Parts: sequence; C-alpha cells; structure tokens
Amino acid sequence: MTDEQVLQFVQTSALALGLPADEARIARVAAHFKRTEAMAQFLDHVNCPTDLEIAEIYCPKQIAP
Amino acid sequence: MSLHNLSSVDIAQGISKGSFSASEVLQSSLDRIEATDKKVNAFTAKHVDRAIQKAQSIDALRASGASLPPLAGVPFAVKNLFDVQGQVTLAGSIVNRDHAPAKQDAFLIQQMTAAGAVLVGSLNMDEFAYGFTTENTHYGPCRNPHDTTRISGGSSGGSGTAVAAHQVPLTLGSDTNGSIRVPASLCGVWGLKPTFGRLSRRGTFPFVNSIDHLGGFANSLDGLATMYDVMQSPDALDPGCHVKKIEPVLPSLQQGTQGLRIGVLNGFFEDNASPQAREVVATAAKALGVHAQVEWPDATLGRIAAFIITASEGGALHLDNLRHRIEEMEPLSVDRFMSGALQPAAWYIKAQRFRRIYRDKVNALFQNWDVLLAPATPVSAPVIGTDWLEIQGQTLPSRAAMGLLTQPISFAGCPVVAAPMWPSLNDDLPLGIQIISAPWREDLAFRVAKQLETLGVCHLKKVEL
Repeated sequence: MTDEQVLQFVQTSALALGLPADEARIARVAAHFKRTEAMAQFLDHVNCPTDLEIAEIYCPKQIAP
Repeated sequence: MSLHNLSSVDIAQGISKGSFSASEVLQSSLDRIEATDKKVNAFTAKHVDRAIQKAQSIDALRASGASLPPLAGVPFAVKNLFDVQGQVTLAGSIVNRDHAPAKQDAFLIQQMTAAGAVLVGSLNMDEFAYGFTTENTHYGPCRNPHDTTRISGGSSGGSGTAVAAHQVPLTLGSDTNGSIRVPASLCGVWGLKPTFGRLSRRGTFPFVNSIDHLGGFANSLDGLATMYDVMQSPDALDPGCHVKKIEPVLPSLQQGTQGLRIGVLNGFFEDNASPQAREVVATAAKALGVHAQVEWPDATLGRIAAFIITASEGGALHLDNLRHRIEEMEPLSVDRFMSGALQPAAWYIKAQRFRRIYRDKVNALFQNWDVLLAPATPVSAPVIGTDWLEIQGQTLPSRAAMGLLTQPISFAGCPVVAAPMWPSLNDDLPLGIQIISAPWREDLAFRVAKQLETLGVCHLKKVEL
C-alpha cells in the first residue's frame, strides 16, 4: 500500500469502528499501521496448510458429573 | 541490621528464629519506601493498614508456637494490574479510576498471603501494559535505582525497581512480550516468566489474553523459587490456567548442571544485541563451560506474529476507551492501540495459525537441548525519553526495541529465568540474561540459574539512593 492508501484505509476503518478521525491522529496511527503492514507481509509468505488451525484459545467447559 | 537488604529466605528464617519480628520487617520496608520512592517512583499505592494487620497476625502465630508458612512476614508488592481487595485496579491508567474497587485479591496475591507474605503496595507500570519503559505520563516515569535518569524497563517497571531499590524483596508482575524480563534485566534483579498457562491470571487486568503470563521478581534466586512454588496451583476458574498439578522447583534447585544440554542462541539473538549484551551471555556460557551455538527457529517471524496479535487483541480490548476516552489515554501508546484495532482479521488469524507451527518447531528444538541462553535486552537502560536506539548499525524505535529478544521466546510459551548480570563496559548498569527451558520445565532453568549464582556470575548490587 502507498502512504496515501494507508492513510485512506486508516481513516475509513476508524470511521467504521466509530473511532476519532482527526487529521493529526490519523496521520500518527497511519505511520504505525504502515510499519505493521510491512511486518505482516513477511508473515503472509509463510505457507500454512489448509488444515492448520489457529493456536488454542477456546476450550469447552466440562459438565460436572 | 538493615532488614530491608535481606532476602525473603533470610527474613522468613529470622522471624521464625525470633531474631526480629514481622512487624519490625514491615516497618523497615515502609521506612525504606518512604526514604527512596520520591527518587524512583515505583509505588502508586501503599496498603499500610492491611500490611500491619498481616504482620501482627504472623507475629501472633509465632508467639502461639505454631509452625510458620514459607514466606511468613516477607513484604511484597504487586504491579497495579493485580486486584487488591477494596482498591481500584488501575493497570497504569486514569480511565480505570472510575471502576469499582476489587471485591477480592487476585488469585496469586491470595496464594502469597496464604504463604505468609505481607502485601505492602501496588506498583507503577506502562498504561495497560503496552510498553517496555514505564514512562507513564499519568503517574510519572519509574526511575532506575542504578541511575535515576534512566528507565527501569517495563511494563512491570515498578516491580523491577522496588526490588532493586531494596524496598521489598519480592514483587509480582506480568509479561506478555517481555514485561518481566526487560525490567529484571535493566534493574539488575532476578525475574521469572513461567510457562504460558502455568500460573492463574484470575483477578488481573488483561492485556493480550492469548499471550499474557504472570510471574515475579526477587532479590535472591531462592526467594524467586520459593515465591514461584507457593504461587502454583491449578485454578479451574481461569480458562488460561492449564496445570493439573504443582511441580515445585525448590527440591531440585541444588542439583547442578551436570548432564544438562546447554547452548547459546545465535543468529537473531546476536544480530540484535549490543557488545554488552553479547558479553554477559559469553560470560555466563564460559562459567558453565558451554560452547554450543544454537539457532532459534523463525525468531523474526515469531516476533512479528506476537506483535500483530498483541496490537490486535490490545486494540480490541480497549475499543470503548479509544472511542470515548481517547484523550485520557497514554500518549505514548494510544496510537499503537488504535492502529491495532484497525488491523485486518486476516493478519491476526495468520499469526495465530503460524503460532501452532512455531510451537512445534520450538518444541522440536528442545528435543536436543535442555536450556538455552540469550541476552534479556539488546542494551542496558537508556535515558528516560530516548526515542531511538542504535543496535548493530540499525536505528530502531527505543520503546519497541527493548523487547526484541524476549518476544520470540514468550510467543512459544517457554519459561525463562532472567538473571542479573553486570557487563564490564557499563559503569555499573546491569544487563541480564534469559535462561530458557522447554515449556513446563521451569526446574531446568532454575538449576542453571542456581549454578550461575553459586559461581558468582549472577547477583544483585547494592544501590545508593
């Protein structure tokens, strides 16, 4: 994404989530977002087999006997 | 005798023998806090009344002739994200001030108290644990006792500082990406981040549910081991607590390192380490007679995945604060929280799927090794307000870079003892190492730590405040 595209994405997403979207804050958040986007691209190249599930979070509670 | 310099083991033994009372130990701790905290800013609250009551109950127990529990009369303090009955859990913020006071103590405080320890206060931290420096804008920066112009590390900065400043011998903290190991390294004290899922997190304010760990700091390794053993317990009420039984480390602490396969992490852990950080690892390896170099699998990707999950879960957790109270949030982290809240779900899910591959690779590594050594921080404590660091020719944002070497380890859930060390080039500023073992094998990391303590390689230094 170009700087302009990142800025636009941050602005639109902020609106969608009901977050403040003043110009100065959007610019600062966009700078962070761009750094994360660059990192996410490295991860995107990792080949994950279709049946690879996410790491465990949820565990059903056992019914007491 | 200066009671505030004693280890928790010496305190418990002294009270048991009648050399001094729990009330005297408590008063010494409170006096020390009064004398030093204006300089280091570790405490955000003192719980004097309950501490006096608890110390008196320990003294009464001894007077009755009953046997005393292992931490009887030992003062301790907690990062202010732990619930303390009757107090508001701040988690380093001002927005949480509106919350109701906690109805009961956090589970680990209950465990410590049952073991006789005396809670004296709550400690400074980065807001909502999102930081490695404890430069808290609301409550002021926590200052490093070895040089008060420098950071104490974070996010459990108050917990590291309170031990290093001899205010209390034991503290509790939390560690998502390095928040125990970083301040332990920069403050020159012992720290423990146990296996993910080992200790119950019930009654603490979360940051990143899928990576948060709780642990502790101590001025002696024996104290750290005792504290860890008394805090262990299955807890059916915490879905993140995976243990079924207690596995104490004290019985094997003195077994030495014979037969253990120990290596030094290279690659990522050398490339992102200053000469001082490399020096302390080399010193520890030499003392242990270790020569093997070991490569940690996918360290860069592990750090990236941890970073993405942290930002995403943290941002989602604070969405309401971001919507309605953003101006009251920490200026040093609020934009990162907001950026995290906006991350596409695909990034988060990929990171969580990768974590499963990563876990298997790390577990495979530990088929061949028992304990691995690495620096805990790339550098020693920077001056408060430092924005950028130079590490091996790279210019990196200081506040994120302090967790470079801890993040890949905690993402795999491995237990780590952070051991205090003192590089020769450093003008008495500490820089610790990570002693890392396979998940659920805290005992092995503790054995290596004990050997390094016995050899005089890892130790605390007194501070002048």
